[in-house]
Amino acid sequence: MIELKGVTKTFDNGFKALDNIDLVIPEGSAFGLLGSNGAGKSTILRLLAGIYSQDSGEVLVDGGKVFNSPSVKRKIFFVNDETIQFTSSTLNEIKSFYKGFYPEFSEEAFERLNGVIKLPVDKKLSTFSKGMKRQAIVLIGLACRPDYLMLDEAFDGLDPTMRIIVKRMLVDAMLDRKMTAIISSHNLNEINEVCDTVALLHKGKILFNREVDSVKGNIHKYQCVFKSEITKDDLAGIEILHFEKNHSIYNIIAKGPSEEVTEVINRKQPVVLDVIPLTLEEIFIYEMEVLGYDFDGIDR
Amino acid sequence: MTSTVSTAKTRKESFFRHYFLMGFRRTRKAMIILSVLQIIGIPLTEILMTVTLKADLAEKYDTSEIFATLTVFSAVLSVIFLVCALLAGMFFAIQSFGYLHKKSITDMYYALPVSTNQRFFADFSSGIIAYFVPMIIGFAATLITALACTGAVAEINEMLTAYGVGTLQTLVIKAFLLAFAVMLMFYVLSCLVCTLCGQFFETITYTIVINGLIPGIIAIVFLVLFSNAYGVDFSSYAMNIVRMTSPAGVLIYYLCSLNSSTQLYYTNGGIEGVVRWDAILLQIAYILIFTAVYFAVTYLLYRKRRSEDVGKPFVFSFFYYVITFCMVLCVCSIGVINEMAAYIGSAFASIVFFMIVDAITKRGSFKIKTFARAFVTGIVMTGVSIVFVVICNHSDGFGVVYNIPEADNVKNVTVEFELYGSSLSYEEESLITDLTNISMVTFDDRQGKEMVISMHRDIINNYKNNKDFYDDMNDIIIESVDGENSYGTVNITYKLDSDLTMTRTYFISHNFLDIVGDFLTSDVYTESCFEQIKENFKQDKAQYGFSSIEFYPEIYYYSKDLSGNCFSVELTDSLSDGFFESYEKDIRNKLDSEEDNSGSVMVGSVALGWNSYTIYSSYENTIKFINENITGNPFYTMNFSEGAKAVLNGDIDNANLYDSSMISVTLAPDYDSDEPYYFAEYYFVENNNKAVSDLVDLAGKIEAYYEQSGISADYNKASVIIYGNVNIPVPDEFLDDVIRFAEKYKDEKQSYSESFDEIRNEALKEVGSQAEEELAA
Repeated sequence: MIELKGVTKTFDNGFKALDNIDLVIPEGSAFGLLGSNGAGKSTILRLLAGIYSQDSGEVLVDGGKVFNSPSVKRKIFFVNDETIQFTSSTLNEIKSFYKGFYPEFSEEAFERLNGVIKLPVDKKLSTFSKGMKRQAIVLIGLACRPDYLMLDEAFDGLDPTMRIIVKRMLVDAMLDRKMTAIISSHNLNEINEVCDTVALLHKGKILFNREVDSVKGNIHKYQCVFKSEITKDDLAGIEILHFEKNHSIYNIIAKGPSEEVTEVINRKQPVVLDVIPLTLEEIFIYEMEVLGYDFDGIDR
Repeated sequence: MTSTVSTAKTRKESFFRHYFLMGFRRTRKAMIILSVLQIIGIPLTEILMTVTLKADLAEKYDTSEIFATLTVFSAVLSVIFLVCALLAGMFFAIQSFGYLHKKSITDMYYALPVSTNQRFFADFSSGIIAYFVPMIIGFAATLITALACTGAVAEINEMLTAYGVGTLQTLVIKAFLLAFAVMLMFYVLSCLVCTLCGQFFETITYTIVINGLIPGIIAIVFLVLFSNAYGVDFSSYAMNIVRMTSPAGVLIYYLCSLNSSTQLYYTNGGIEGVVRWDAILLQIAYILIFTAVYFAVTYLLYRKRRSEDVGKPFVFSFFYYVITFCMVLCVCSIGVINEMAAYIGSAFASIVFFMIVDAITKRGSFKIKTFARAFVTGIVMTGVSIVFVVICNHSDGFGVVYNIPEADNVKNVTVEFELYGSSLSYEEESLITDLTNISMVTFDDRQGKEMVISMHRDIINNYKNNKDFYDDMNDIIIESVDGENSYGTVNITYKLDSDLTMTRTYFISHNFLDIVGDFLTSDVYTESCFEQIKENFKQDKAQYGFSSIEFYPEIYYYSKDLSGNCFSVELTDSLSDGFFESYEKDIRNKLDSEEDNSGSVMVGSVALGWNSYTIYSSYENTIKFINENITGNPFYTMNFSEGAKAVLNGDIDNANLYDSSMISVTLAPDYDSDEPYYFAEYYFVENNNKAVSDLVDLAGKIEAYYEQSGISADYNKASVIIYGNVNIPVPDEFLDDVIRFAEKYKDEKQSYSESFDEIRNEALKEVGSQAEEELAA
């Protein structure tokens, strides 16, 4: 289990990346980190990987402090959002490099997984495409058989087929070994597909931290047509994230159990009322809009 | 429980080992290449040198020439290879710690399951092993080759020993031991810069800067502190620290040691400092101490450094400002130190310099705020530098000038005089001249120490009392004020109980001639001088086994009391004791005498051991001793006619002659001139030449004149020299005879100068009417 207790991290330029964060990630879960740029996602991953040390609070993995603790760190594998560090090595060399640090490294897993993605093991990574490099590092990460795999923008550069394969590899590992995956991604569909729990960060704080289903089940889009014109104030009692009128059609994004929201809307006697579930991406966008992000003019 | 602990430990070790091996793998290619170069470099040069020498010894000069050319070529290559191997320290440090300069690589390394300590020590050791292996291989190859070469040609070690540098093997061992220490320091400094900087560009540039800045700032600080501090020799202080604090400093020190023309004053200096075991080991110890300090700083900074610091030009801004301040201080001081009036230019240069450095470091950030901040920082740094220089200039070295140790705290004190003026009294000056060989006297008894301290105190009091004299010259280094008006120097070196050395050098200005004079003529000093002479001789004799005592008459003077022959007698203890006894007696008589002995002239010298002792005409005891004890068959003569005849008959060993005898006639119309103005030289190819015969006659007449008149042969208007054998000083009365002689043979073959008339005319032009009258007479 991963625990962050009152963690704060401020950089030299005064930027507070994390502000008194509390977070618990249960063992065996697939945890997604969402947030705008600079929200603190990568900082959390680097703290969990022992790359950064926090200014205050505690970062614990299985009860042990991570920073400067080899015994804890060998349970963790961190996949960076860059691959430049490996370009002068072959996949075999990278394998040898990591094998010494991760006693659980599985040659069998390496061969099996590479049998699927078929990467050349004796060619330098500088000859690989961006997607191949990414696959190679995820492959190494999985072969190391860590308890906790951290992926920072791990699906960048993968083609759709490979995305599916890599996701499957991840899911298999989680199912096989109860591995915990912590994924930070801008591609919310991937989080949606892989993660069971998700946290939304904004300006160094966690806005919510819930199971994906509960997040999705709690926010809906209500498409309605009323006999007469209504305003946002007419729907008092429900938490509206977004209110938009397009000719006679009202698009309302509201938080809360759909039954309760429907009941409030029904009081205004709509001619048409459709309840549409939102994707995680839409939820992310509307949540961010509430926080002041201006998406006007941006093609969704 | 035990098993768990042991497993954890094994895992920890294996992580370290694995991390180390991975690091080592990165550097192995460069290591192999450098190793091969080291095997080829110096050993090949040694072999070629030996072959050349062997061919030389066998008089196969054609072969020797070919191999000599190859040796030069190989030597140049081996130096290049060696420099590459030495400078590779920077490369290996960057290879090992290069991940600190790229964010993604830093992430990767910091995420690995190794502790900060493991990571640091594994990186450090993998780099240093790769750095040292080629040099160790080179050392082994060089040493083995040296053994083989000296085994094949024994003369190599004989020659080296004759030069005082020991055997080739010991020289190789010393050189490599020193090189290893310097390499370690260079590598640690490179690692330190890697840790200080977060970008590759800064790492490279500041590794170079730091290596130059350390000796630079030491020299500057000492220059600023002590250049105007009366009597304090900043160069000795500076060099003693420079030589142990940086690789470049070690290089500067040894270049200065080997280059006698730029000889600096420092302990264990000169060629001896380069080859003496104790000096080398001491030097290595100092280097290792400072290396340990740099290492400790590197380690602490590495631990303090955070992964997010990657990308910053300087991770620790404190060090950035320290380094740039040192650079600004250097730039500023160079201008201000010699001429305070130059402070405006220096200040401007310093500010601009800082702003350029800052702009490079903060590249990409060309905002007015940044520019203004750099400007203000530059002003502050320059201001501090100028204030520092000004305060130092007026501080008398912050009291160091007035620091005179108490006798109780001094182990011993050495006084050394070097006099080059003629303003001391006759006794003082001649004593110093007599005792030139032992001008350095060490006192370890209380009375001697107190006497030196008392003289030192008088010198300082004299400085205090005449401060206006020095303050008037406040824009010139004090030494030069005294130096231009001095009659010599006195150097006082205290060896303190704490084993520290304190050295002061004073120019003997007219202000304290009396102080020095009283000291020089004191019984304590004279006694110590003789004790020192005897002690030095005893030590040298035990070490080098001298076997003879020799007498040489003075070539420019004729003494009726001493033989004109050179004698060499087998040395016994009673002979050396007897000589010192009579010599000391004469010197004491001279000092005690109320008579004016200034008419006494140098009549010869006695060579004993490494030293030569000047004999004056007033040294009755010594002259008597020589006449009684250093006699027999001459191995050389300075009697004019006998010498000339001997040359004529070929009786004198021709070793000192050229292929032909050479007679030189020298005209020196000005008595005080150091060199004769003009000279004519005549070469006589055949020994049985009429010219030589005439010269023998002339020499006989001159000699007879000296004998009859009883006057000494002074440094005369002319002399006739048969090179290497006979030198005839010509008294005024015989000047015309000599000129006639020269005129008579001016057309003799191979004479190369213009006619003697021309010489005379030129001389007359130079010396004016007075000389003209003299010559005419």
